[in-house]
Amino acid sequence: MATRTTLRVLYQDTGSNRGGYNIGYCNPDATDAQLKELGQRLNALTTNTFMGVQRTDVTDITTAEFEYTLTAEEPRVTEEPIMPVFAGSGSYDATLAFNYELNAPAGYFEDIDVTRSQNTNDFAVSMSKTSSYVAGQYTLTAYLTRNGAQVSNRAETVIALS
Amino acid sequence: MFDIQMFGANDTITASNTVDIVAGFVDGDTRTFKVPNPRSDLTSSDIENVDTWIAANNIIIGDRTGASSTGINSATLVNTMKTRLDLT
Repeated sequence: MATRTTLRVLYQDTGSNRGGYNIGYCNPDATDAQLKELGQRLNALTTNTFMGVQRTDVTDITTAEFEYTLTAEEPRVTEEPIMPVFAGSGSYDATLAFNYELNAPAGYFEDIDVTRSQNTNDFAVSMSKTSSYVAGQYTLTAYLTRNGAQVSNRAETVIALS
Repeated sequence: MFDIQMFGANDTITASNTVDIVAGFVDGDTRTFKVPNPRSDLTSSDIENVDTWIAANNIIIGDRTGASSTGINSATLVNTMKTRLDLT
């Protein structure tokens, strides 16, 4: 899913008329506090009273518009390091950022590192179990972003530890 | 012969002021947003302060590819006067 965020600055003029103006697309990773500060800095250029900002997040849930596709391969868990691989298809460039989310309690894994195959655009997430891990199933989710906007599907794989 | 009267007694005149800010992005895209009612003492330094903050914080992104902002390319004070002619 790709999320687009737009921003509108709200104000009241010296005649007590309320209005607003659009800033357009903003980084979906921007916090509310950052967006508010942008609105305040722009408002400081004016005689208006700042009334806040209006943030709109639109999430696109269609599935066929990603420019890059990640496919999770079955992870090998019997040897260290554990190295789930996400096979990539699409045009890779340096503006893409690889992101992962590991649904496991802190302290179960260590030495987590990401490498990308120059030839195949596959991504490997290597990690090791710590001595305090607990047997169970843990989900690793990977996706690509560019300037904070998601540009690939979210690919999931399950790491089953016994 | 007719005399053309520019402003009739019942015409409505409205004035508005904006500072039109053009933001640039690393992919070459630009975007203009119109900020109404700029201060009368607004200076280029005020704009440059916002410019620095926008460029450093990557809050605004481009429409085409979501590219990062390079800051403010230009800012223009625009005064607009509109006269709505009374046709009754």
